[in-house]
Formats: sequence, C-alpha cells, structure tokens
Amino acid sequence: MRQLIEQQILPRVTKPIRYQGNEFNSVHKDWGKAQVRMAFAFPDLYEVGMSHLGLQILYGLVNDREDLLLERVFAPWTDMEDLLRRHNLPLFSLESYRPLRDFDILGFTLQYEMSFTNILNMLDLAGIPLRAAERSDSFPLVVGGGPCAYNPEPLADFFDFFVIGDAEEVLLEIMDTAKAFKQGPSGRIAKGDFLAEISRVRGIYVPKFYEVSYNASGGIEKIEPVNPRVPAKVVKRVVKDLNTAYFPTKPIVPFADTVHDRVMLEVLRGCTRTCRFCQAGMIYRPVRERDQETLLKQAKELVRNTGHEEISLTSLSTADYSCVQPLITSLMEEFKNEMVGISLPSLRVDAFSVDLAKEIQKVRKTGLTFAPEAGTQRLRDVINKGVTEENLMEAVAGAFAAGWTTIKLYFMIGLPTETKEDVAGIAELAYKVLKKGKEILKEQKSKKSLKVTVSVSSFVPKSHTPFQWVAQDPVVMLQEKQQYLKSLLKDRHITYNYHDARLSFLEAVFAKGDRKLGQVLETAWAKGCKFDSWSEYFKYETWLEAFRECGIDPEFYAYRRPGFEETFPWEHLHTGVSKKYLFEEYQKALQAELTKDCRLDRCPGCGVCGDLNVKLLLQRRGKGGAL
Amino acid sequence: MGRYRIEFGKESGARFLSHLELMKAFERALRRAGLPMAFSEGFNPRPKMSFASAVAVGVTSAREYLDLELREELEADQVLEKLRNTLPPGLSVVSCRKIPPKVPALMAEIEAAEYEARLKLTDKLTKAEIDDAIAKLLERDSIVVVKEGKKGPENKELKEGIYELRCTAVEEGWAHLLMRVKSGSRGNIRPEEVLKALQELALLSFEPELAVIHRTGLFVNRKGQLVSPMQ
Ligand code: SF4
Repeated sequence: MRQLIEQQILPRVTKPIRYQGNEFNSVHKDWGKAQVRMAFAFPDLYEVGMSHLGLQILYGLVNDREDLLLERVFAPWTDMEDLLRRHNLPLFSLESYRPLRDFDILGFTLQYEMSFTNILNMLDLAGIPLRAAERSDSFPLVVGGGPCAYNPEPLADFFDFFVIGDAEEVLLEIMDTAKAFKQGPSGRIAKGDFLAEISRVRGIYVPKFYEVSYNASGGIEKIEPVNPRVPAKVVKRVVKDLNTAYFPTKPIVPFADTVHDRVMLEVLRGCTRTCRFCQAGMIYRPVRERDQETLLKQAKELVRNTGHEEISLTSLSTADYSCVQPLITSLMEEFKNEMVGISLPSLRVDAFSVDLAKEIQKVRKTGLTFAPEAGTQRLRDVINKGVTEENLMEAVAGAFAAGWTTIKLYFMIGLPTETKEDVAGIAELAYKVLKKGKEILKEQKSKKSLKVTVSVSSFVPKSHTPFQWVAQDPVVMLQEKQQYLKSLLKDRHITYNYHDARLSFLEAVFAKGDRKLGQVLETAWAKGCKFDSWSEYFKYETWLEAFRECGIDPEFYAYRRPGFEETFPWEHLHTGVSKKYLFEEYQKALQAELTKDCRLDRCPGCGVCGDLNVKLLLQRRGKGGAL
Repeated sequence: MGRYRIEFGKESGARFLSHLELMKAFERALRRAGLPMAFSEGFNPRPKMSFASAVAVGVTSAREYLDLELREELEADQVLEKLRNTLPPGLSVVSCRKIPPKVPALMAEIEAAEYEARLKLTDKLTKAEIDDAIAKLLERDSIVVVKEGKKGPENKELKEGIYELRCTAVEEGWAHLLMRVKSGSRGNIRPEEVLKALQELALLSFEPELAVIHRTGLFVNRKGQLVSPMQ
C-alpha cells in the first residue's frame, strides 16, 4: 500500500510531506511483535495535530513498551481524501501505512467541538461503521479523550468509551486490559467483555452503560447506569505529581512547518485563577508544577534529541510558575552558544510578564499578545479576570519602552451581563494602548510605526464552568456587536478581527449538547460538513438543514438559561470541582465579586483537592509574582 | 573556525521536503550532532550554512551540496561521522571536505545539473520513436515553454540551456530519459520545463503528474570543464 500511495497519490496532493510518516524520532515497530496496536487519531490537519503535546506524550509512553504499538493518523486534506476515495483506498496510519481497520484500538483526541465531523469522516474513510453498535469485534475499539471528553454526549453513539482526565495515567491500563481480552485465531478483542471490565476503571466512561431519560420540556430527567457494577459518577484521572509522571524526551521532529514548531516543555499543569468562562481552568485542576531540576534535565535532553531551535514553556499560564525567573535564567545560560531561543506562549497582563518577555526575546522579537478579555472593569470582574486597566497600561508601556511596536489584544464579546458600554470599552482600551504607544515612541524620537491588533471572539458557554448556566447571545446580537465595534475602531494603526459568530453558536450547541445531537452530526457530515473550523469549508446553512431534518432545535442548547436544579448532559462526569462551587462562582459573577487564586490566598473550596485526594504542588509558595 | 563542503543525498520520503524544510532539517540534525555551528549576527541568527541549489518538491537527488561554517575546527571525517547518526531518514551525507575560507559561495558557482526522468507513457512507444521525438525537439531553432512567473505567465526559451537530452531505455510503458541542463544563478532550467516542451512541442504523451525525477549531479565550471563541486 505504501508503494502505491507514494508513487501514485502523494505526487498529486498539496504538501505530501504531511502523509510521509518517517520523521526523525518517529517509531516504526514490528507489527507482528506488538500484542496490542493502537492508532492515535487527530481529527484535523497534520500541521495542527503535530503541535499537540498530548500526542507526543502518549506516543512515547506506549511505544516505550515493547509489547505495544502506537501509530498516528491525521485528517487528510480534501485533495488527499478525494484521491483515496477515487482509488478505493482506506485511511491509513502514517508509520506503517496500514488501514485503520487493522488496529485493535483507534483513539481520537477531542480538542474542539468543531472537529467532530472530521471524526466521522475519518471513520468513514477508514471503512469503519460510524456507530459503535454497528461495529462487530472485527473492528477496532474506538475511544476518545481530551477536553471535549468532559462532555462527549453528542459523540456517545460513535464511541465505545471515553477517557476522562490525564490520559498518561490510564492509557497503559487500557491497553493491558485489551491484551487480556484478545482472543481466538483472529486475535480480535472481545468487546463486550472488555467494556464490562474497563467500565469499572476510574476515569473510563462507557456511554452504552448509562441510560439518559428526558423530561417533557426536552431537558434531562436523569442519567443512570444500566447496571450496578458501573459507577454512578465517572471521576477524572489525575496525575498527582508531574515530576514522576512520564514525559517524552524524544518527541517526533516534523519536517513540515507545524503550528508550534518547537520543543514543548510543560512546566506546570492546571490553573486556579478561576476565569469563569474558562473550561481548562476547571478541568485541569489542581495546579501541579514540575521542579526546576527536572525541567532543566528535560530541556537538555529535548534539545539534544530534536535539535529544535526554540523551547516553548507551555502551560495554561507559564508566568504563574513559581520559579519562572530562575528557570528562564538557567535555560538561557544553558543554551546561549547553540542559539536556542525560549518562548512563552501566553503572557499575563502585567509588567512582570513583559520583563520576562524582554529577557527571553533578546534574540528574536515577535509581537506581544495580552488578553484583557473584556473592555470595562465591571465586566472583567464578572469574569474574574483579575486584571485592571492599570495592569494593562503598565504592561503595554513596558513593552513599547522595550521596543515592541506590535501589540495584540484579545477580547470576548457576548459575556454575561454585557452592555453597550462594555463593548465600547474594548475600543476605548485599544485607543488608550495606541495613545500610550505614540507617547512613548515620541519620547524615544522613534519613527517606527505602531500596530495594535484587536482580536475579538464570541463567548461560548462551556460545560463544567460557572458559566454553564449562561445563555449565549443570539447570533444576530453577536453580529451587531461585532459591527458596532467595527464602527468604533477606525484607525489605520488598529487592526480589528473577529470570528464567525455562527461558528461560535454551533460550538455552544455541541459544548452543551446531549446524545440527541449524534444524529445531527451524522446528518451534517453526510451532507458534506467537515473541516468546519476552516472557514473555506464551513457550511452553516447545511448545518441548519441537518438540525431541521432531525427535528432538533439548536437554540435549545445555546440560548436557554438553565436553572441550578437542571441536570446537565455531563452530570455523571466528575472533574472534582463541585457543582455547588461552580454555581456560587456564577452568583458571584452576577455581583461582579472576585475570587482570588488559591495558590496565593485561602482555598475557596472548589472541591478538587479533597475529592480527588490531590493537592496543589508548588515549587515555592506565594511567590508567583504579583496578582 | 572551520569551513566545510558536504555532499548529500535526498531520497525516498525526504523528496517531499521543500527547500526551507530541508534547511531546517539540516540545522536540527547539526544541533543534534552537537556540532558547534557558527551563526549569523543580528536579530534572527541563522546558522552559517548555504546550499548549492534548491531541488523541487518531489524530486529525489543523489548529489546535493552545502557549505557549512563551524565555530571550531574539526576534522572533516568527524563532521561526517556525527551527521551520519543524526540525519532524518531519506537524507544521507556522502562526503565532506574542508574548504579554504576564500572559496566562493556554492550557489554562485553552479553551472549545470543532470537528471534522470522516468515517464509513464500513455501510448505504446518504442525507444526509436522517442529518440525521434527528442531529435525533432532539439533541431528546433527555439524551444519555448510557458511558465508561471511572478507576474503571470511568461515565455521561457530553453534552447541554449539544454546541453544533453536522450532516451536511455523504454521498459514496461515507462521511458527513461537523461538530461543535462543549465542550472544556477546565471540561468536555470527545470527538468519539468524540459518535460513540458517534450509534451507540448514534441507531442510525446505521458502522465506529467507521475513523472519520477531524480537529480544525479550538479556541476561547477572549472577552466571550461564541468566537474563536481567537491573537486
Ligand atoms: S480545592 Fe481549594 S486549593 Fe484545591 S484547587 Fe480547589 S480551590 Fe484550590
């Protein structure tokens, strides 16, 4: 199959390197010797998927075991898909060019809702029946994990099971169990027995073992296990200590330019700043930091094994790492001769972060991005952003003084309680930043030109957050706000861009959706929806048609304001954060009351630490910089 | 300080690398090898590394060249050995030699390139018929093809740049060609352009998308002789 594809197909597609699979550090194992074979599927392009740290972690974890094998597959771009279909070729794994059907397990990572149609498309391209109930033992088990697995209900019909939480905790347990249930001369897994067994493992959710009943108004009456042996609530898996957790130091080095083409050094996991819209901040709790020695050692090995020219210190908020300053100093010292740069993917809105950026960007100066998220102090307090205008102005002043001339500001519209003033506040803030920049450039007698980019997304309520009780703004209202802002931002130094509100609407529908949405997904896919997050392929009208045909009202999911008592479709999936705490946070939001970060203040009792028997793991207490 | 000239091959899957990706793959291999690269000054320091010429995506090559500067002086064999272990599959170093600091940049020296091409014929043709078509093409006073330029389509004259073009064999519906063409900064002819001329002007019909092109050599001009840059 490889020969045929390399000679007849690859020369005809754009960027054939995406499908080449022979990158440095890729692992090519003896198919016959592996006892359980899994394909890790990323339902988007190679360039996007290869920038995902989780893939590299699981790839190393499994392939380090002699009896197991993990290969990769990405969504093929449409030209590749067309050729595969025309030649009647099934979707294949990159390493061994084997049809996905031949694997024991097919694992999808669920990173964003708008990749769901790509999952169906990939199954179809692989010749695998879409619905789990239609797949006999001769097809692979299909599993999903990642952030969207915290509400996988719209996908429940298509998957055999889901992993809730840190996958490096549980993946080997899954594969060992699969090994025990391989049987007969065909060597396929006895799925029924396997699922019965695995459903009792913590962090594993087998949707067919849970029954959902609906009430008269279309909401959920209850979600109950169908037999007493599976847990009523599936509790997430969590790595207690990142220092002892598996970390790959020989990641695959892609040839092609990927979205994040650099070494990813994960300095900490979790964030307890409690931005009330942020799902990651809730599902990845508690905060666990790696110690500096471990990080330095990993960084050295990573550079030696990959040859990358840049190390990105990744996490939800790296400037919060309690030892960030000494860490950066020692990394810079270590790599100064080899010209390895350091980067921070996300900056906090304060002067401290700008100082860090200054220090690490002595070599390469790229643009700076800050995320005040909302235009007025009141609204920033509603979302608990914990950032003041003063913080922002200090930060941008520092940045302009240090020679940066392009600054990007991230905002959201459609946040709960938002008024016209809040939207106008975004423009005001942008002009203040521009004015500050002009002043500083004038002082420096600099002739450089300034650029402020205002990037505005639409708020999407997500499961497991304080804002799960919030109704999303209707599409037309979001569009009006976008246009209003456009009318206010008329300056040649300001660039304004915003996301398609219709896409945000569908995102909300699926983020808060239930099992009834499975048929909508299938219908939309059958009508040609795929690569929805790529604007050239997004077919909104087709989506609406699909909803109509299935007799389902998407607005029910996105625009309704659920009560506290309402049973959510994800009620049986437990992150450790209590519903009571989330609701309290929602109430505080409506009062614009702040909640402080538990790293630096008292514990407000989200419940994770006690409930999951974990704790915050900080290298140094209370010195993470100014809050 | 040491300056080195390296001969390398780009085969199998690595043929799909673009020139930029190839440069990056080498930079990373050098860093993995722990070789003390010298860097350019300025805001965006790059390793001091220059390639002879860019080979098109999809084209394999047996002989490519690059010049490299190191901060320390090592033996050429050492450089070769270290790189051998760190290049990705598909890229391989053949030889390496030290070059004096004054040798001009590779890119400026290249004069010609040699290719083998395999064409999937759409008609049943014999070698004699193909020889005939080639002869007719080469007899023309002018061999012009249209290429996509920066400002839309442009005419390009190939006549003076085709040094050699012949059919070496026909096997199972595939024609094997050998061509030697002008290459480098003083005029560059791409093998695809010659194939286009064969298709359009000599009316040789084959499937252009499936053409397999392999570069067998790059040459510099030394006293009127075309020789390998390693000499
Ligand atoms: S339980 Fe308390 S300390 Fe632990 S993450 Fe939640 S708020 Fe922070």
